[in-house]
Amino acid sequence: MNLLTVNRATIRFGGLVAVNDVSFEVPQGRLFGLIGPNGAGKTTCFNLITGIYRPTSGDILFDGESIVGKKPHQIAAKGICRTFQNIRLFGDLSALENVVVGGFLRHRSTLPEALALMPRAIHETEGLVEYAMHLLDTFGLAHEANSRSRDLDYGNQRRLEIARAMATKPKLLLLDEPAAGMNPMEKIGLMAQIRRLRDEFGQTILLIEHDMKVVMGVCESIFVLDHGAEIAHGPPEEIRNDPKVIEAYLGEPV
Amino acid sequence: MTTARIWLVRLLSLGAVILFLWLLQTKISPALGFLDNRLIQIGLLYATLAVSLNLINGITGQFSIGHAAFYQIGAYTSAIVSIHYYRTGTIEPWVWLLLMIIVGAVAAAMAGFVVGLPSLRLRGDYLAVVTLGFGEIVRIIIQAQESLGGSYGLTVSASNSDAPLKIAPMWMFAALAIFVIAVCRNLLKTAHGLPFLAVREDELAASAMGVNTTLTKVTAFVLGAAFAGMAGALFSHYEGFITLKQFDMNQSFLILAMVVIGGTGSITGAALAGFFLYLLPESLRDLPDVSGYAVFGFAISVVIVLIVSSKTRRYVRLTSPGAGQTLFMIFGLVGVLGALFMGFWIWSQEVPRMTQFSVSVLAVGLACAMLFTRKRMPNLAGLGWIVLCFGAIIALTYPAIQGLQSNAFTSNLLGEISYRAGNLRFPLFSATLVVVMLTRPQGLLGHHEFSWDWVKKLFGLPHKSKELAG
Repeated sequence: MNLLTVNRATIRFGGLVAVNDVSFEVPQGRLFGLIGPNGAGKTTCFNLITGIYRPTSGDILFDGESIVGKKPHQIAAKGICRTFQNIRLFGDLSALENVVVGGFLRHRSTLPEALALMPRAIHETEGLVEYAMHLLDTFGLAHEANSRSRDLDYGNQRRLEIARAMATKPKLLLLDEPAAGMNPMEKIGLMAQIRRLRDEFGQTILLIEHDMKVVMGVCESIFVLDHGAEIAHGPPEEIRNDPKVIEAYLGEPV
Repeated sequence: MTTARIWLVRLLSLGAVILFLWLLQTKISPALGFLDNRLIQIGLLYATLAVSLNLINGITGQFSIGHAAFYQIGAYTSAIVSIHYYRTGTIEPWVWLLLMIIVGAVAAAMAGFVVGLPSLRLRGDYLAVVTLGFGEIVRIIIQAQESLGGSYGLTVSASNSDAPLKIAPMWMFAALAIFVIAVCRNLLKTAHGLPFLAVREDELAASAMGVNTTLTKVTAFVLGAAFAGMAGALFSHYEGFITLKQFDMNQSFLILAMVVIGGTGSITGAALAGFFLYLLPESLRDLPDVSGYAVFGFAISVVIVLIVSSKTRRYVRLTSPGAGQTLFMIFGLVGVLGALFMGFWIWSQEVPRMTQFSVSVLAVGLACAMLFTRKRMPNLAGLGWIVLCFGAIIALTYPAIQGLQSNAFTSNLLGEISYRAGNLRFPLFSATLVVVMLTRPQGLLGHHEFSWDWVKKLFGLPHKSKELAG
């Protein structure tokens, strides 16, 4: 079953067609890669899916339901969560608090209950903190739980962003260049982490990445964009040898 | 924590608060003079206002600079209701006042909702301009209404009497401040506070994490406005007479400055700054007049010393760090002794108790912070440097004044001018603001809350590290 279906999505900014008639499907439980040269419209695709932009035409179905026109927080509540290309953590909050913000989506106590500090709100907070600690532990960040997220090193910030997104318990996780700026060792760790997310949590992941080792290493199908339009899609071996992809993006066979 | 324990703690703290309010009302307040009572009451009112603005500006990061308008709406609405419906002798005054506080809160909350709406689309400076405009609109509308007293002001009185209604007791001021601080603290103590902080940090990321940013921002405005409305209702029933001037743009900026100095996002910082920044200028009212020569001479020497000191300190550090450090520490000790003497001396002066109390607490606090903390050596040296600069400023002021007096041009300009100390309150306030912003751009407490663990850490005592909902 397809978790996400993008159906002929197009968005124009004035005269510029950033995403042009793009269609793809992400099946449940799949690691799906989105690649293409800079400015190809990959991040714009993410912004369309997460509701930051509204497509000029076309449709996006999630879990069999159209999410076009929904607000970002409604889409997050439906089960799509993302990380950002330029890390967007809540800088002055601690690593733990960042993750709790993600988990807060599933809260049940009301604001008046919290303002009056009713037991239910306290217990729920304790539960959220516990869950967040567990997630931090999974991502090897438990020892940094109380550090300000701005003070974490780069690799940890990237990992914390994924942990924060996972805290919303998404059905579909969108990762926007998770390996950007990482050294080769960190990249290997990240690949293992992404595979574990899929194997242990059954997480469906849609991934934008420039690092071909990472993309070819973890993704099961790949979709290639150039100038806002599809130029190829298929399994990694096929993409690697596709002449159009080589010309537009890869340059030489990897 | 188990549910039983939560309720036990709740009951105990409620009991403690009631005991404190009772003591304040029956023992402390009667022992103080009129002026001291007034200073404490208005100080608490400003603490309430600063904490309520902090919810909007500091915690949610929506830069609002029209806060006095909510205060004003609370004050005028409750005053009008009292004028029409309150009859003396029919209902206990403090019960009526509680009702009026609710009225003020509801009226201001509705206004907060209206102002909150543009905040959905506007950010930063744009929102600031809108809130500023809103504040002025409210003021001008009231000015144009004769039934609201227009620019003459409005006497708050019962419907069966003409005497101004002054029914706000001391305990109510403390209770309101405690209530507002407690509600804000509860918000940050539970996970419900995090969406507000997340909106401040990064709105886009917050919405992608499922935070309803619209709802969060409007909630912050409604709550903050409601608190300010409560303070307004209390104020109008305390003074018995309200005028537009008490709610103008200056008020908004005063409250904003309190939040900024206290540390944006810090509840305790805002409360402390609100209380003490009201006291500080207020206690200078009784000082003698100052001549224009003295003010400008002082300003000139401050500028000279600041320029020279920044160069020399580095020079001393580089050339003779050890000897320089020792010298600074000696001056630091002199500074501590001077502060303690000042605290002691002020008790013998004819000034309000609150001034005596604040100065002494500050002096003892400074002495403790300097002598008993872990980093006492560098702290003491730092203080010594400030004492040196201060001494140099005083020493330079005299020749600067002489120079101004002997120069024909400046003596023509300044000869006739003398400043009333009361009017120097705002320049002093601005100077405080400038100094705080230069040394601690995040405000005195930054984004942090005051905690005893923090004090313990400062003094090198065992402490536990910060935890959410601990």
